[in-house]
Amino acid sequence: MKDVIDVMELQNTKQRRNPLLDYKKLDFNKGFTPARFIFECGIKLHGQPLTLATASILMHRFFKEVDPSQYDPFLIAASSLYLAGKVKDDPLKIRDIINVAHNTLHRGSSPLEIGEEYWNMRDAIVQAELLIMRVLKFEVSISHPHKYMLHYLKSLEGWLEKEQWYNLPIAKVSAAFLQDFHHDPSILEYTPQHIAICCISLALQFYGVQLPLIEDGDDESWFTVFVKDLQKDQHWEIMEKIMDVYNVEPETS
Amino acid sequence: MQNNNARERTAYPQMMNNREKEKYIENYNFPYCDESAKYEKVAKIGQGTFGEVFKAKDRRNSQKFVAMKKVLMDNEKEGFPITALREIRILQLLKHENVVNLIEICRTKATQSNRYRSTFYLVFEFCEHDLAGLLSNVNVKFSLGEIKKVVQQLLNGLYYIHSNKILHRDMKAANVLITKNGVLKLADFGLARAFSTNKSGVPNRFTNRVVTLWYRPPELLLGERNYGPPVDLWGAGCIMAEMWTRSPIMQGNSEQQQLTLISQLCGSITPQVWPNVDTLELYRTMELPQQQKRKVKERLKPYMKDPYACDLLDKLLVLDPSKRADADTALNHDFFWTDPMPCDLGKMLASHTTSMFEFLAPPRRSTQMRHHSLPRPTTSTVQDGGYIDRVF
Repeated sequence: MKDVIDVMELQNTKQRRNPLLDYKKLDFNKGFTPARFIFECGIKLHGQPLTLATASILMHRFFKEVDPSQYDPFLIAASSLYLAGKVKDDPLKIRDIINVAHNTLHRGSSPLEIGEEYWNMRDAIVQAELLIMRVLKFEVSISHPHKYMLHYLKSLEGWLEKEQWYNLPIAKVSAAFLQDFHHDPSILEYTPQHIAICCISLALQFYGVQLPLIEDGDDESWFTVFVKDLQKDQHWEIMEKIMDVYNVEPETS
Repeated sequence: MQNNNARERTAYPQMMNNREKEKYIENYNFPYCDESAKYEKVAKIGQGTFGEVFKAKDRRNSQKFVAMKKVLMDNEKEGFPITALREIRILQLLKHENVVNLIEICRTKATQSNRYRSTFYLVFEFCEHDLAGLLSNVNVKFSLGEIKKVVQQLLNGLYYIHSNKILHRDMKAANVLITKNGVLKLADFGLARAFSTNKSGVPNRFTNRVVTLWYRPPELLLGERNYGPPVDLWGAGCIMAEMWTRSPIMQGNSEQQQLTLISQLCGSITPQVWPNVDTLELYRTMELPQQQKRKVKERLKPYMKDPYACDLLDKLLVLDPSKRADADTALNHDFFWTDPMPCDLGKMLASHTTSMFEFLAPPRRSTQMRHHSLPRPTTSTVQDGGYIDRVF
C-alpha cells in the first residue's frame, strides 16, 4: 500500500489554516463552485498546480455547456481531476481520487472498502470522463495564464526597486490571486494574458506599489508594454471579478 | 449554451428506473461529437498494435472519404487511454499541409448491444496512398524531381512539428501518406510526444522503446533517454534512401543486428566520431563492430546516382545526433535547389488508380537494398471515387 495516499494520515497530521468545509451542505447555486473541492482534493493528491488549474477549467467549461442541476458536482469535479491528470501528463491514480474524494466529502470516515460502492464510483468517474470529453469536443488542451504571469513577473523584478521586490510578496500574492480566480467560471471569459496582468495589477494595488517612471494615477499604463489590447474598463472588470471570488466563499463556523 | 436533450427532460437521471436510464443514455445528444454512423465503412486499410483503420464514405456527401481510426479502449477501468488523448491533443495542435488532418472525433451510439459503452473513432481526411505501398509497386516510378518533392515535403512536415515541439517517434514509409494529388502527409502520431529543450539542466527521461526497429537511430538503440528531433531525421534519412532502393535499407531482426547494420553502413560507433557515446547506457552491453569504414555514399551511389542526393543522405544518416542535419538545414541543401527542381507528383499518381497501402500490399522482399520485382496481385472488390481498394 506504499503508493496509495493515506487519507487518514493526511487528516490527522496536516495543520490547516483553512477551516474545513462541509461540502454536502453547500448550495452551488449561489455562486460558489466545486472548484474548492477540486483544489482541496488535488492538493491532497499532490497534483501539480497546472493540473489543478486544468481540472477546474474543464469543470467550468463542462457546466457552461450543460444544465448544472442535472449533474452531480462532486462526480464532475473528481472526473475533471482524473482527466486533467491525463491531459497534463501528471497522472492521478483513480483509486487515490476515489479515496480522497470520498474522504473529503465524508470527513472522518474510514476509506471506502473495495466493494460495490467503490466499483460504482469508479465506473461513474470513468463514464463521466468520457461524457466531459464529448461535451467539450475533445478540446481539453488549455492555455494557462501562468506562463504569461511568470514572464511578466520576471520583467517586473528588474523594473521595481530591489528592496521593494524582496520585501513585498508581489509574485506570491499574484499567484494566489490567479489560483483563486479559478474558483469563478468567469475565468473562461478572458484571455490568459489579460488574466495574468490583472492578478499582478491587483497585487500591486494591494501593496500600494508605484512602478518607477509611471505617473501617479496612471495605474493602467504599466502593462501596455506586455499587452496592447487590454482596455482600462476591462482591466477593472477583471480585478473586480477576482475580488468577488472572496465574497462568495461560504461561511464556516 | 447548447440545447441538450438532457435539458428538456423533466426526470433527473437519479430518479429514473433502469429502462429509463438506458433510454436516456441512448438518446443523449452530443452537439460536438457526432455518431460514427454518419460515415459508411468501405474497407479496412490498416491494422496494428494501435488498432484498426477504415476507409469510410461520408453518407451526406458520397464524394467525400475519410479514414477512421478506432480508439482501443483496452483498459476500460482506467477510462480513456492517456496515449489516445495525447495523440488527439497533438493532432489538434498540428495544422499543416504536410501533417494528416484530424477532422473530428466520432462515437458509436450507446446501445444495449455494446452495453451502453460507446466506441470512439478519430476521423481523418482520406489519403489514397502510403509511401511503403507506393514503393512496393514496381509500376510506380518516381523521377528525380518527384523524389525531391517527396523528401522536401517530408522535411517540411518535420520542420513544422519540431517547431511546435513535437517528436513523431515513429517515422517509417508506412506512416507517410500521399494524396492522389501528390501532397505528402505525416501520419500516425500514436507514439508522438511533446519535448522541451532542457533549460533547467535536468535531462529528459523519455522511453527509448519507440520507432520501428529498421528506422530506429543509433542513440535509441544505445539506450539514450534524453533525445530530441534528430531521432525523426534519422528516420527521414532511411525513408529518403528507400525512395531509390524501394525497400528499407537496414532490416535488422534484433536491436543488436540493427546496430551491426548501422555500423557497417555508417562506420564504427566510437567516441572519436561521436563524443560521449560511451556514456550511453547500453554502449558496453551491445557489441559494436570495430574498424568499419563509413560507406553511406559508396553503398547508395549505385542506386541514387545524383551526387547531391548522396550528400544530403550522408548528412542525415550521421551517427552522432548532435551533428545530424536538422530539418531546416536539410531543406536548405542544394539537392532541393538544383535541376531537376522538385516537381509535382499529381500527374504521375493520376496514372495509378489503385489505392496503395502497405497493409494491402504483399510483404516486401526482405533482401537488403534489392530491387523488388514481384508483380503484386491486385484483387479488388470495392470501387468508389475512381479508386479501387484492395481487400485481403
